[in-house]
Amino acid sequence: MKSLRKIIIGSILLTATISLLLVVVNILFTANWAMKNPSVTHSKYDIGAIADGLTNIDGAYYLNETAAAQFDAQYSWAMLISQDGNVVWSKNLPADVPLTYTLTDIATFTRWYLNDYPVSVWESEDGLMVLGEPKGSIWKYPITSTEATISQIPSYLGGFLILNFVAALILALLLGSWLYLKLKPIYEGITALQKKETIILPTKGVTGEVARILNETSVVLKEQGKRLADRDKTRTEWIAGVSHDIRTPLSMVMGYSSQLETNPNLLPAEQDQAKIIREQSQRIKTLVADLNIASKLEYEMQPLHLSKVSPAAMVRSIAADYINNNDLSDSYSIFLEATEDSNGLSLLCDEALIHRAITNLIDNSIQHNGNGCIINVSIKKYQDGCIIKISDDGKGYPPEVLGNSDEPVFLENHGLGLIIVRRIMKLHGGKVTFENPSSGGGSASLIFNP
Amino acid sequence: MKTIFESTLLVVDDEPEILIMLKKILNQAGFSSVLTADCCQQAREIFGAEKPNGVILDIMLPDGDGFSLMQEFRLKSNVPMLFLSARDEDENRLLGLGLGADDYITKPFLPRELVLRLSGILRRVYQPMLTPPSQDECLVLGNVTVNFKSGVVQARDWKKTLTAKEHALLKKLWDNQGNIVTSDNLCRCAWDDDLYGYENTLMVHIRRLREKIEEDPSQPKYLLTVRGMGYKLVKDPTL
Repeated sequence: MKSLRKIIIGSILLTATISLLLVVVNILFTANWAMKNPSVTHSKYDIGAIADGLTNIDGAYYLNETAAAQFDAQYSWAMLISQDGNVVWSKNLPADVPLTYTLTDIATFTRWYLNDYPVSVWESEDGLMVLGEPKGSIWKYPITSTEATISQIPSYLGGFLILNFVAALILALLLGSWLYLKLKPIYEGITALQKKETIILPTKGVTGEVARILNETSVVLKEQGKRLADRDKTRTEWIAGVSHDIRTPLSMVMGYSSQLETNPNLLPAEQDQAKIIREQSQRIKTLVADLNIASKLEYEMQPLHLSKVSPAAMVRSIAADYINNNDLSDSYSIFLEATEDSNGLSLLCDEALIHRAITNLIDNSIQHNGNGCIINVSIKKYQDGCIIKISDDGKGYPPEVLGNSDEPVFLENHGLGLIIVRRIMKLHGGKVTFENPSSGGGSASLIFNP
Repeated sequence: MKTIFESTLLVVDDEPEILIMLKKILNQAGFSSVLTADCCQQAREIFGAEKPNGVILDIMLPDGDGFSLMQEFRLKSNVPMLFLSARDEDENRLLGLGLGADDYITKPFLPRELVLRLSGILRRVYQPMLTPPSQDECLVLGNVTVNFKSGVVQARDWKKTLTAKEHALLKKLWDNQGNIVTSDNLCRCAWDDDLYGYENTLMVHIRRLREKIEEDPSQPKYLLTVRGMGYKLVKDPTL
């Protein structure tokens, strides 16, 4: 749920930022636009220049060239109203503009319109200069406001901005929590999917389609998982069947070759051959048993019989068994070292499997150092668990094993022994690491960390 | 019956070749009377009629399984029984359930192993009946004799008594003479507890034991320490 919350918070912040940015951009754009279009603000200050360009020469009015050019560019008509209210000069005067004006007329059109014509006025020597523009071209109303209102404009603008900000944030929050509520079941569905659980999400609302697809995916995954498990089970059962069936013929081979080996009527060379048959059939026995257990571990068909075990007592007993059973020829010796605190340790594990892992490693040391070696088994406390180390002074582990990857590597001549050890450790939540110490030999560590 | 080799054995297995081989192996080992059966029905008949002294049972049989057949036989008789199993899975049942079987061997097996295990069980069950009980259980270590019945260590000119714990420890070592007994096993035997916390106590008891049985306790000849593992009573202390 953490990552969904992160996504939602991110989206809320992003939405708020975008909204704020929009407000700022709008303000900037408006200000820029207003500044670049001064004519709209009806401040045609050159009206004074035009008025000044009109000169009275002996009773006749004459507009000079510069003023005439300016007039043509900006206005459509002009007139000069004398002090007594009569039009004394005009240019392009439309027919519907009267030629005499009262004080009321003048007061009215200076503020608003003259017969719907927007006009600008200028006080000149001989009267009032009126410049007109076509009807409907200019918006012209005087705005009146109290001083108080004007003085409040900056704070109003500030408040407006803050209000915008708050509104943007609230909207973003609402949108975010709405999204959160909608996406939560989808998120939970995906999480469940990862754990291979069957999911039934409600398929209504905006996320309905996604939910439906997820539901279907979970069914497909379930079926696929089942098919895979069935196949694994079949394979494991098949291997178990073969390894069972091979036992009877192997019993015969082992039994009779063993009898021949000690038959006094045979020549020593023949006895040796019988011995080889017996030894090789024992190897087949080990291989088949390894194959069987490896396939069970691989496909998780090996039932775990967990119990509390003292690992220190177990390694002591394993080491003692090697010596007591005379399993080791004289060229091999085995030593054990247990730290004092390791005696108090207790491990929840499948004793038979851990026993197997340890003997596999010891057997490995024996098998791969045919000229004999010294095997050291040690146990020590490590964090909440322990490390059982099996090391020898032989030729060491091959480089492929030293990678310590979780993936098992199949090595020729190593059989399945090390793969089984890896699987057993994985099943117990631990791991096995291999190294060749600089002092020589090889060393494998079983690390239990509950 | 004078020796265990005179006992009548019943071997039950569904594979006729295995039966033939087992019979040969057992005959060769000295067991003269070996009966065979290839199904539960036949086994029942022979068991009822011949009253064998020992039974070797396969687990998978055509008309039933060895586990229930054994339980059936157990109701009538206490003869030693040994399972011959062909499945790894059976191992857990054999180990865990304590079905009353005396031992088990998994196929494929070495004849020597089978004969050793079988003779072991037969000897354990029948030996006390076959040989008159020896006057006392005695362990001779050089000039010293340990009498386990009285708990007395007797030398030429002195006599010492073993404490209960020393007795238990030495008896355990004697039972496994020549083999290493781990400290854990010794602890379980003397204190019925795990080793943890008893490490020093065990060492002290071994030292006291050596003071009683060894000529030079600081250089023991009979009760040896196997570093890291436990202790061992040497196999042939008279040498």
